Amino acid sequence: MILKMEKLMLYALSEDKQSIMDRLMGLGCVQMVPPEELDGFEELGALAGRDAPAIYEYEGKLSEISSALGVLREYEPKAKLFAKKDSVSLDSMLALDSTEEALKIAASVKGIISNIAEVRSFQSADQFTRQMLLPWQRFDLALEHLSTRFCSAALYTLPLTANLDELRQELDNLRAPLEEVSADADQRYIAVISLQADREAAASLIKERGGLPVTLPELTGTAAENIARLEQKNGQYEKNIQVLTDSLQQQAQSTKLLKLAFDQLSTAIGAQRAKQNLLLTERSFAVCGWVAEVDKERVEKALEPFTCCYEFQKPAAEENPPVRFKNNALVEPFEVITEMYGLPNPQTLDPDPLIAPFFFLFFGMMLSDAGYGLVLAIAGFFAAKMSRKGTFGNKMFRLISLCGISTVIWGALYGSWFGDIITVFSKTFFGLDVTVPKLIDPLQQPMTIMIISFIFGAVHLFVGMGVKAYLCLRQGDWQGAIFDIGLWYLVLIGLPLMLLGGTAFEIGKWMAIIGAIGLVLTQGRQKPNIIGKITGGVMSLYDITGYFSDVLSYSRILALGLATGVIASVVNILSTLPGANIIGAVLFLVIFLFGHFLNLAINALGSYVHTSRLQYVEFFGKFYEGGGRPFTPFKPETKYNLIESKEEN
Amino acid sequence: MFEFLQNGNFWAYLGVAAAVILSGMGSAKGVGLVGQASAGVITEDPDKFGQLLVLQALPGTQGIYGFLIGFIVMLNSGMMGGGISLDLATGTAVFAACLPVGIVGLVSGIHQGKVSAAGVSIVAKRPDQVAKAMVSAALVETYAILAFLISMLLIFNMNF
Repeated sequence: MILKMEKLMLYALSEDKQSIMDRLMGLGCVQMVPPEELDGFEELGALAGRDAPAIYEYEGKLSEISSALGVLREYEPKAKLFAKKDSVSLDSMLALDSTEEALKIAASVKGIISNIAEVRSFQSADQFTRQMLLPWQRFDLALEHLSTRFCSAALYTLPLTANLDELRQELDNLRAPLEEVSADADQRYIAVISLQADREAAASLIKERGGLPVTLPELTGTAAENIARLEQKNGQYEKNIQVLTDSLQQQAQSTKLLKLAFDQLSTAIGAQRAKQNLLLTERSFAVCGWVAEVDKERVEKALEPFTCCYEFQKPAAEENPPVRFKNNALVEPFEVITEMYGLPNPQTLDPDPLIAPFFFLFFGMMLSDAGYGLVLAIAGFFAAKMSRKGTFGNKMFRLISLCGISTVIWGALYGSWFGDIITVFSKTFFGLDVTVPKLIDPLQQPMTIMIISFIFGAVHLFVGMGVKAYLCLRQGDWQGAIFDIGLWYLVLIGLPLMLLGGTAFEIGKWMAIIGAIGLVLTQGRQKPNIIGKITGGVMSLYDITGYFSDVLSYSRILALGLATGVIASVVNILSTLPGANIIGAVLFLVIFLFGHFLNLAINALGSYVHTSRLQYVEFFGKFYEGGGRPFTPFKPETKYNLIESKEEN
Repeated sequence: MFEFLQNGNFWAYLGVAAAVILSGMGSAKGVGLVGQASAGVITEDPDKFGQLLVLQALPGTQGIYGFLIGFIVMLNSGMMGGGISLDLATGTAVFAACLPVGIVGLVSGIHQGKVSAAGVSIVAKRPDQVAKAMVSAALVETYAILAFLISMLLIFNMNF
């Protein structure tokens, strides 16, 4: 059900402001209302001032710490799956005492990171130089002595296609010896020594052959010496980076303080945001918030020690209070389905108790394999045990677990345990004929299951229509309830009764006729003139096609059930093909596990999506009104720690 | 030269081929479309891979339906065992029964892929709303399910 919300108006003294706000935060059951949404805000706003929140400062610090945490995450020791979070009391969460030290750590992490980046950039510059020098490794002239008073040694690259011998000949005429230093897949690396006077002439000869002059960086010593020096330096760089990374690793061993500071800061930011909703005068302040009726007592108790005045107001008709569900443990997981669709209008009702049985039923019929159901139920159960209560994930896991139970029930009815593995396995490996007990075989009697699906579907639709009628009646619209829903009930129950024949045919016939006449007479009642009324009434009978296709839509229950069963038996046939020997047994295990895992994954997804669709399109289509806002209470915003729940005292 | 058209076996095999080929093509195209769309999102935010994988798996079901129909024909007609001799009437009936899942699978697979690919941008911008993208895609799949159901019921009720 949707919890009734009331509006808390609280007036208190300025000196208690901090402690009252902390108290409300600890309660975590009040959703702040911005004063702009209050009646008479203009007058109130003129009288009272507003807090200037210090959010930016906190956000700056928070982003420092979160980027440090982001860096350290890589080096952190792997957290255990489903590790429990640390519990921290609210007071120490509000203390904001670890910020300074955490910022220091964050700054040192940032320093280390920028050091690493610097070393890496040096390293890559050296790497580049080394790449340039490598082809000249065998050139044993010191690089600073390439040009003397009379002689000059010039370095070139020459395409492989150029004729080296001819060039050598030409250069010999200039008394300029050419030496081939090295060659790779693309070009030759050559050195030419000439007199200073002949340098130009030699250069132009080489250029004609497609040679390009090479300029090496200004270095001392031979290329080989330089390469060795750079390699040694590279080793040092690597060592430096290792040292820096080690210190990050060291830092990552204890991220507890950073995490605490992160949570403290986000809580502080939340508190500052909430403060924006206060209206302040010199000596007092006022605040307004939504509180669920059930939490009123807790709020009253929390406010007891303070000098203050408060009242709870019932929401006015035009107000849209936030929506908060409260359901028993069996229905609660199904809230996920509604939340994913969008919350209902708070004036209507919580559809979860109605969704629960049908979702349970349809999911089981679609997946319909007891083996798969067991896997889902057990996995969901343990995952739910590990996750925190009240979270979305927890509800989802419990939903999976419940749906698994339903799947076991239907699978057992269909006699399907990982398909027909028991029969196939015992036949292949032991030569035994084992039959698994079953109530109904979907492969032999698909029509029976189709009819069952249609009947369940019709009930589902009728419940949806019933909800619509209930909502109409609650709003005093008795015409809507009787004419729009009641008459359709007559028609929709009457028509299938006619299929049964005999007396049922007679009863059905008259129900359908009375219903249809009623619809023709009433469905045009909103139209202004008589022609509009008649055409509106007659046209409304066309809606029968809508109901017809709604019911047909439930045939997917049969189709998905058959798909699961048939794929499972295909997997079983394939897995027992290798035969009854050692290799066969190994192959059997591999194919069995892989095939059934795949089938479970794809069909569980399909069952979930299509069951949801039946809820969203067929069921919600009959009555659902969206537009609810989620309940977002003012509470500590923590990511890494848990707040000890002792606010009740 | 067209004697093989008088052969029932040929039509039955053609039916199996049509069911598997056409629906497989539709799913391949659809899954491919979603994969292309999600690659862009994953480069930005690798954590969304799980949600996107779910969306990408949705247009894959048509191929499975086609495969199932093909497999059931093989099982029921005895193709698995090898030697079958179907008369022309049965063979052509098998072929006709395979057409719904093949043709609707081809078209709906592609269109479901397009809807899911559009849903990828929902995941990119509002990952909490992924359920809506999934339901939109499931609306397209309805027709593949109906076609699968008809093909299946036809083949179940056939006397080989």
